[in-house]
Amino acid sequence: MTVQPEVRVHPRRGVARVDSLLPGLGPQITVEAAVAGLGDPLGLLLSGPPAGPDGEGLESHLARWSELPPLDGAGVRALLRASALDGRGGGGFPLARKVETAMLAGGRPVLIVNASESEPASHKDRTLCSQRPHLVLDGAALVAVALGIDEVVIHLHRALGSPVRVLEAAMAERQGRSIADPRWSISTGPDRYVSGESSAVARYVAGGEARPLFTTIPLAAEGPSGRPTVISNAETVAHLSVIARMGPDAWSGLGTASSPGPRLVTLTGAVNSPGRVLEVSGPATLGEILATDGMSTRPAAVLVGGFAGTWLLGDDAWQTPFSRDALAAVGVQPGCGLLGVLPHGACGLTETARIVRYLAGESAGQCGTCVAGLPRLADSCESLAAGTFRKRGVRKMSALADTVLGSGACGHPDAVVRLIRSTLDVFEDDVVRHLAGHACRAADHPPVFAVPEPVLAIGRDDTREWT
Amino acid sequence: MTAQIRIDPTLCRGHAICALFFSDAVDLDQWGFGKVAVSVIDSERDLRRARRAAAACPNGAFVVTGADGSVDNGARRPRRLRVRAAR
Amino acid sequence: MLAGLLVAALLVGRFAGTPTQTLLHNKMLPWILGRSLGVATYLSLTAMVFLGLWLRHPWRARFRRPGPESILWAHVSLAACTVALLAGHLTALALDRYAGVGWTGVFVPWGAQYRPTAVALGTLAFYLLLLVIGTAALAGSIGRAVWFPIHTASVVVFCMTLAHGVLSGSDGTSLRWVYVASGLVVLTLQFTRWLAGTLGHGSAVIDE
Repeated sequence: MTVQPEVRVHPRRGVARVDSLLPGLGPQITVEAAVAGLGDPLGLLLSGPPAGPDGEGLESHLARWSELPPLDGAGVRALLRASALDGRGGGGFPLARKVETAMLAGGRPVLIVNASESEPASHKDRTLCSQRPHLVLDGAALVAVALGIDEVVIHLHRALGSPVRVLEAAMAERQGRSIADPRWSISTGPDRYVSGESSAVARYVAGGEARPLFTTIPLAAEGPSGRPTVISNAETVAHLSVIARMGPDAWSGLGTASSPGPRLVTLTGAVNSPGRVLEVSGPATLGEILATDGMSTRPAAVLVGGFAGTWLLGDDAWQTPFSRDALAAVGVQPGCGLLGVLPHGACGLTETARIVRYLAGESAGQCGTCVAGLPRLADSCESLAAGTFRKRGVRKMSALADTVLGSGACGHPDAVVRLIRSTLDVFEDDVVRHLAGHACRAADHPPVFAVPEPVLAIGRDDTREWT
Repeated sequence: MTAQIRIDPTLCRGHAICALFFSDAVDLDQWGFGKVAVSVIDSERDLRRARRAAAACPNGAFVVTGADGSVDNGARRPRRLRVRAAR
Repeated sequence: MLAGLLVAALLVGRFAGTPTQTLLHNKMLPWILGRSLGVATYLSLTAMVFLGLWLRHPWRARFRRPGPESILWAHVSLAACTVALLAGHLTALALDRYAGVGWTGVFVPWGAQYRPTAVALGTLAFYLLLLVIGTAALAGSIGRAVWFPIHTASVVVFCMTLAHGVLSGSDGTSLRWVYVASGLVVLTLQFTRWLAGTLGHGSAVIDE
């Protein structure tokens, strides 16, 4: 690295002990766990006062963060490697590897920042783009430098409330200040769940349908346009703009060894403020995160990682740190950072059935496994929740889940199977009660999660819906 | 030999033809959609069988790839998506 | 399976072949054999076409068994069976001096003295069937662009065979219901499959 950026670590973070020297990671700094909301000085991405409807302006952004250090491509790539920045869209793939693959593949790469955030209950990318647009744009500009290109596409959904206008205003503001930016373009795609999947985004931006693509070559090596295509989540690139300013070591020290840097999470379900986005650093446990929102008792269960995520019993979740390793130890992936809280007295099977029905309707209708398998899995989940199921039904449902697993072009069917398996596992007692034909104790409980209306299967092969 | 077989699930329509040509390598589900059971091909004979299955598949869903992941079905297979008119 | 179909064919031929069963003597044998093998070929062909259509029919999703692999295996076996029965049918009628068909009638359309158009339908269906089965057998070498479009001609083969059976059989009345039922089943399957393919995913999964 040619430029040594100024290190800015907030004094209240209780830094810093040099812990170990992992190859490629640099000195590890251990911090105390911290959870910060928007405007909390403990945060990085979310620090600074909440912005108005137009997002934070360039003046205030630069006042807090100062100008980006002048980095060249090699400098940015060194930052990516040293920080081990992982993708925050759900896959968790290191951005450095994507960039390197694209550089090796040759040809002029395409860079797409995916801010579509298809997960309906997740709000982190929306919050980031509408509150801190310049952090996202700074980071996107840095990735463009790393790839040696001067063009960036920001991809969003068309949905109402999508921060298109904020980003456009921010881009115009930067042009007025003659910041050496790439050329920006904003792409708005269909509001479908799988349309935010990276191959679907790449396909759409290349001029195709916003449906996932079967690929034998990584997108970063050859995308649907024939050019290497790097797709990165909005939160990921926003982190990069922070890394460039505070240095990779200080940044990755704000996470844990397995998940470097702070992460954004969204709260949903039975919490005081559903949709609230928090910034988690250090080994903060799910309990500490939920306590920040004012929760004092352990909930019945927590759905981690998105609607197509994994359930954890409240007691287990409360003590689990929100880091990749600690979550993996209990069979969970951080995904897009969604934490859905199921209160005592609500039925996890009913909530799962609603989610699975929604996800089944949100398939792209391309692969047989989704078209044939998911509606049947949704039927099974509903029967189970309604108590009209027998033991044989659960066995058949499990067999069907095994069939569906791993046979789609994208991860959509696998995620549904993961959700169903964790439901059967975590709510084992409830399953037994429902099978015995007892009335569900939570039959009158109002729905916990704001699951959108499922899309009906009719016309799912209609290409107009996907363009 | 580093050829691999893959089944493009977006194209597979469950004709089960691949199982006729190369039954060892393919698991069919109840609808006839194939899942690759053994993806790495390590003999000349299996490569021939895989190529025949790839050629015969009515939907072009059965794919043989080379070491770098590029499609290598023996014959050319158009694998470009439909590009729609300018947005 | 081949033997079973032969027995079935002989039985059908015996009871439905000619009204003069009891006066069976040697010079009638090729005729009876030809007729019964013809009916057996038709039944085998019908079963083959039925399974081929069923293999990728939307309604199949409702039935777990027989699985796709078994259906395909039976479909391919029936192809071999049909070819064998057809060879018998053609040989028997070509050798029958009283049938008015002969080798010319078998291989040259409109070359038969007995109901030339009806027999010609059979001859043309025979050639088309050879094309369909031949290309399918070579599918792994010639590729999907060739064999699969040709395979869709199977229904044409079926229709021609049905017409050939109705028009050239001298006992159309006794087999009428066999022809009507099989024709209805195959054409219904073909139509509903086409409809599902036009409206939806086009595979064996949309069952609502």
